[in-house]
Order: sequence, then C-alpha cells, then structure tokens
Amino acid sequence: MLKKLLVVLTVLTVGLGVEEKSGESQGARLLVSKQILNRYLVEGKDIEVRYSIHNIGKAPAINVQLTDNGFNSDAFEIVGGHTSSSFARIPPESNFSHVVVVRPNKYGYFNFTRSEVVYRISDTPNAKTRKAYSSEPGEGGIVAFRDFDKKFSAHYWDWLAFALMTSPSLVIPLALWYKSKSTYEKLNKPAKKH
Amino acid sequence: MFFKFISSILLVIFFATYSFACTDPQVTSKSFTTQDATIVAHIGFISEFTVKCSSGDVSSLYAELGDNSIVPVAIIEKNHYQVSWTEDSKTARKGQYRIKIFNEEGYAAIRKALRANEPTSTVPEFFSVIVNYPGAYNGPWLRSECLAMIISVLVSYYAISTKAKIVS
Repeated sequence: MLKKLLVVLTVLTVGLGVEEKSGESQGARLLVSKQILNRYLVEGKDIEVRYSIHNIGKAPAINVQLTDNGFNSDAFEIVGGHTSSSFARIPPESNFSHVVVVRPNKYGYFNFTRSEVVYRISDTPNAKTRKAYSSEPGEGGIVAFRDFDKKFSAHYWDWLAFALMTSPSLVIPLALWYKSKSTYEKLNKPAKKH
Repeated sequence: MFFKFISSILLVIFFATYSFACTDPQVTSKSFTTQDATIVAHIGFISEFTVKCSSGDVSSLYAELGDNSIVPVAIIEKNHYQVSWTEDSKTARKGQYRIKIFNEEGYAAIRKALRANEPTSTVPEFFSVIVNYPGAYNGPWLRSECLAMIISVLVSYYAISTKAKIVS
C-alpha cells in the first residue's frame, strides 16, 4: 500500500450538458485531471496536487473558477498555492497546470475527491455557463510520520547508540592491554639504559 | 435590433475598462518549492504575487514558463495571483527561475510573433517574478549503514594489525 503510486493519469472529461445546439459544440470544453504526485503520503509532509487543465474546444473558456473543497482545514494545512482560483481566459487548444501543496495533520485513509470547475463556454456576452468535474485520484493511505521515519530516516542516532553500547567490550580490553604494555615497557626501559 | 444595441453598449464598456491599463506596477512576490524529494516524484514550483498599480487595472495576465509555454495566470483574489508548474525532480535545476508575466497586449504580441515564426524573447514583458529553488532533499548523502561499516572495518583493522605486531 505504501508503494502505491498515486499518479492517476486518467483524464476525465466532464461536460455534463448534452450539446443540443450546433453552435454550442463550437464552444470551450475543459478537461480537468486532478493528480496526486507523491510516491508516499506521509503525515506532516508535502502532498502535491496538480490540476491539469486542457481546453479542447474551439473557443476560449471565460471566467474559469476552479474550486477544490476536498481539503478541509482541520485535516490539511495548505502550504503552497490556493485550492480556489480563477482564470480570466483559457485560450482554445491549450493546456496548463495549477499546483497546490498541502500537508496532512492526521494519518489514515483519505479519499481524494474531485474538484469542480465552472466556466463560460465562449466570450460572447450571452455564452452559457458550464459546470464540470475533474478526475478523482481516489483513496490513499496517509502513513504516520513515525512509521515513515522508522523505514526511511538515516538512523544516525540508532547507530550512535549501537556504537556506545558496543564500545565497552572493545575499549576495556584495549585499555587493560595498553596499561600492562606500558608497565612492562617502563620495567624494560632502565635495563636498556645500562 | 435591441439586442445589437445592448451588445454594442457592452462592447463600449468592455473597451472603456480595458483602456485604463495598469501603469507602473509594484509587484511583491513570494515563492514556494517542494523541499523533500524523497516522497514526491516532481518538484512543485509555486509563485504568488500581488500587483499594485499607480493607476488603472490589471488586465488578464499570462506567464511564460521555462519551457517557453505561455500559460494563464491564476487569480486568487483581486490583484493577487498564482503561477505554478511542476518539473521532474531529476531534471529540475537549482537556482533562480525568472518568470516573465505578460498582460493582454503582451500576450497578443507573443501570439503574433509565434504566427510569424519570430522569437518571442523580443516581446517586452509587463514585469517578471523570481522563483528561487534551493534544491530538494534527496535522502542522506552517506547512508548510516555504510558509515557504521567503515568504522567497524577501521576498528578491526587496528585490532588485527596490533595483534599481528605483538605475535611477531
């Protein structure tokens, strides 16, 4: 579960309205994919959310409002970017991405839900407003920081403790030997002088 | 007829608002980049900036990213904007990234240059923002197991060599 790669590359189109009029099919059409770019989801560490927005229509999308209510403030802290933003104009046949970085306060399973996008389908004054939804990254397990640290940290303190614990068995015999060696050398020294 | 009249009024209002373009913009920006590359495969670059004009309003803004793509700038609230993109953590270079921001006229000039197959670098930007990427943590430089092994090899070498000296 840990190694579950959460990059979901599905692009979900959601133009919910059925296009009845021929003129309407010429309008803007946005595809929004919401992806979690993490290898691991860890409590208190960054989670990168990328919204890739493609306008596959023939007209610019006007006054695009992208809102994601999936990250509530008691479970997540938003550290970079904004979950609610708008774009004045998205040109036709273009794509770009919007990035938000959040940090989870809790661990456990979390369902990453879809975000919502509302836009006008062309720049004519009477253009229709369309509501669409992004793809859903789905459920992901957020690992507790302690468990992650146990597995991936450098363990310098653990090794230092190990070195301290093993040092008596090495240092004591060495000290004893050195002591006896130096006493014998002292005894030998006067004999050498004469 | 009435509809045409209304739409022409709307157009007049549209152009009237656009004629008051922002002059002498004062930009304050802050940037955020992912610091820990052990858990993410891509580095997220986020630049947030506020624009204050001495007169006029800011038209819709566009940003030119490092790969020369032109993207629309996200509006967070009035005069507060966000530009963001991601790069693979292996290929992202450390240092400062200068992001050119264009207004409506600049964007039109870029489109024109692209159509004419001319370089877009000659188009003057409205202003630019700097995103600083100091690099991300890719795990410890020397693994602690290696360090422990090196120390134990040194200790045993000292012990064995001393013993060999005594025996001889």
